[in-house]
Amino acid sequence: MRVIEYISKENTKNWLEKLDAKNDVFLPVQDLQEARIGFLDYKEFKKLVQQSKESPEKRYVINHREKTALSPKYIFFPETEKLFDFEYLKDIENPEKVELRLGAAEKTESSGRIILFGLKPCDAEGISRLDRVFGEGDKKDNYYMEKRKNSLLISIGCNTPFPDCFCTLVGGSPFNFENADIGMVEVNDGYAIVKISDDAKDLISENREYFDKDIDKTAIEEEIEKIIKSSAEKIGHTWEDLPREEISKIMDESIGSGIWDQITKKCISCGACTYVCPTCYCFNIRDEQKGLQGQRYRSWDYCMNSYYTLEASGHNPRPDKSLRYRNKVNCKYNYNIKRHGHIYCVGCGRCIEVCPVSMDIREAVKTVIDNRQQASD
Amino acid sequence: MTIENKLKEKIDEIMGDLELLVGYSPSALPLKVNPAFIEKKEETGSLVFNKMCINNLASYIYDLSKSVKGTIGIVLKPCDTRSIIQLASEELIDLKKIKMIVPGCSGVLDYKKIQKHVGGEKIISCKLDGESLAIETISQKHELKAGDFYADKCYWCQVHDNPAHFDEFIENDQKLDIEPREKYADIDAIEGKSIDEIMQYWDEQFSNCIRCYACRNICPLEICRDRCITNLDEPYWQSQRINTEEGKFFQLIRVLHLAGRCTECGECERACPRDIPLSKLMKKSAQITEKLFEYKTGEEPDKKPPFLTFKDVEKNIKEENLS
Repeated sequence: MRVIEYISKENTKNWLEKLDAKNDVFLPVQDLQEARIGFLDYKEFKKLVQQSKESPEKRYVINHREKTALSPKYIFFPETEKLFDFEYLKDIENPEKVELRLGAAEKTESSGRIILFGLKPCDAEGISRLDRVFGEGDKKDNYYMEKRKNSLLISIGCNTPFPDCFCTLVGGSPFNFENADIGMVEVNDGYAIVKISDDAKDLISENREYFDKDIDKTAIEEEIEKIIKSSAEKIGHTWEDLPREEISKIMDESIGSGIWDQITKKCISCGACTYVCPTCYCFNIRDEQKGLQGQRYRSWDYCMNSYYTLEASGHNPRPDKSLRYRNKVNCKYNYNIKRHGHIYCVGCGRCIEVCPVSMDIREAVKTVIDNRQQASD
Repeated sequence: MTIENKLKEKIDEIMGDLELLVGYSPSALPLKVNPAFIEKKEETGSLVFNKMCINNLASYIYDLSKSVKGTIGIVLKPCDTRSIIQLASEELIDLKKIKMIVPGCSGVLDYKKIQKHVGGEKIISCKLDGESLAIETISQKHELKAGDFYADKCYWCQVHDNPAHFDEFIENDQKLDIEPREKYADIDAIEGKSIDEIMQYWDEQFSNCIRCYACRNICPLEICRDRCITNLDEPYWQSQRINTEEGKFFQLIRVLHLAGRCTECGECERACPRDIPLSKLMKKSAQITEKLFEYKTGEEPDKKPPFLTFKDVEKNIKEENLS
């Protein structure tokens, strides 16, 4: 991996401060008291630090090493989004005439760009998957694209992955900066910058003073090689474990085999896994009207919900959890490969972590693959 | 002999009478176990029973009792039996179909408490050796005392080695050995605050709710799951919006739904991916119903729960005080 720039940790703070002046910077913040880790607007973070009475530096810290509880998708695709207001206007003279007036679409207030700092490579990968869903083809999702087009992703590689990480199994890597605008590796007492996209060049060129001039690039590169090697060893899963050419076909064949009943025995069919997933993109749209006025909202929806497929007739094509979970896994390892050319799972492991009954998508996929091999033996 | 081996021995003995056995099997992840569903005698070797078995397997029993024809054996901690008894007292399950296999319990560890102690960082390895608990996150190592990290319910447990109801009880040589705590201490602490402060506390908590309904679906008593009113279109009781107000509203419906039913297993709080302290709400509601109706949930299978019956005069509810 070629080192382009190097910035010390101390200067990273100054750099962030500078970026924040012109843009909306989001970064992973750990609240040590409440034990929560999540992406937060840097301005919000500074406000919290100011407000907290007892030693704020001990309560709130920026921590990109840990995984945030929710994936950062909600910055571009919020849990609930008002699409527009509407109002019915009645004409007293002519009661049959009703006019519908639509309010303007919600505009994001941000003037500058949205910068996500300290994003995990898998989360950057997740956002790139959503880009395909919301931004490919001739029907684009303006609400998503409006926020996304003015955004930059600054990704930091994972020197130490977690036991539930499996990015390497689905084609990623802890140092995959393909989808990041700036790729960084934590090394020694700072960060080596190994990728800069054209869009992000000004973030560095305008802040040259923070980046070290005299650095021994070869030494850092050697150090990075070591880090990459030890990180990959810790994850263990590799791309070769998954028959990528065939996975779609294997999934297709699993339908009707009864294997899904076996896999989902312990599943409780809640939505925790889908809501923390960086690539799940389903939503529901509703008009919520009081009197003559109302709003149209869209909110996250989840395919493990019985109402997700309930038809107006009362028939539900997915009446139980095995069919719902089958859809969930197929959506990621089958349907979206056909639709968008990628596995819609980035291996972040959040679904494994939050599941109260220890469902493990790795095991599910493996069971399906093994089951087919057994059947053909 | 360890309790795990004794339990396996007992299960092997009765497995022939069972169509399905629900128990615990090990998980690859630190501090967690897997619910296991076993149909064949040869598979019982994978069962475990240890201090990580915090899950209440009674969560599965309602659905299973509908789909399984024969007898279902289920491994329950003594406290978990309350959920089964409550379901039976509401005539939602048939006790004759269920074999409660109850090992004595020496307490279970709450991994969320441990995670909270280490600032919310992910635990990548854990070693429990007697009372010492060695935890590792990617940035730190901790040597902890297991006694501080038991599930809340363990600290006031009265039934760990004497469950009121069971089909098979297996004595555990290792007894629950922790300093008991006052059950309602956390409730009292909240109630000592002003209404504004209390509301602020809950607003902060519910600002994290993502409405995934893990709390509802894991609850052994909430058998409504797919028929929940929050999903209804007609009438449209609850907005689909995911925010603080709607999260709170849903949870209050849940609390009322479980008043006089909740057996305080704490599964809702454990399942919550956003760590909302739901047990506090459930505990408060249990405290009220216990006092008003002199009824303790999950203890008597033949006693009608207060909200499933009707009395002309309620002893502890004075009508003149209602206004």
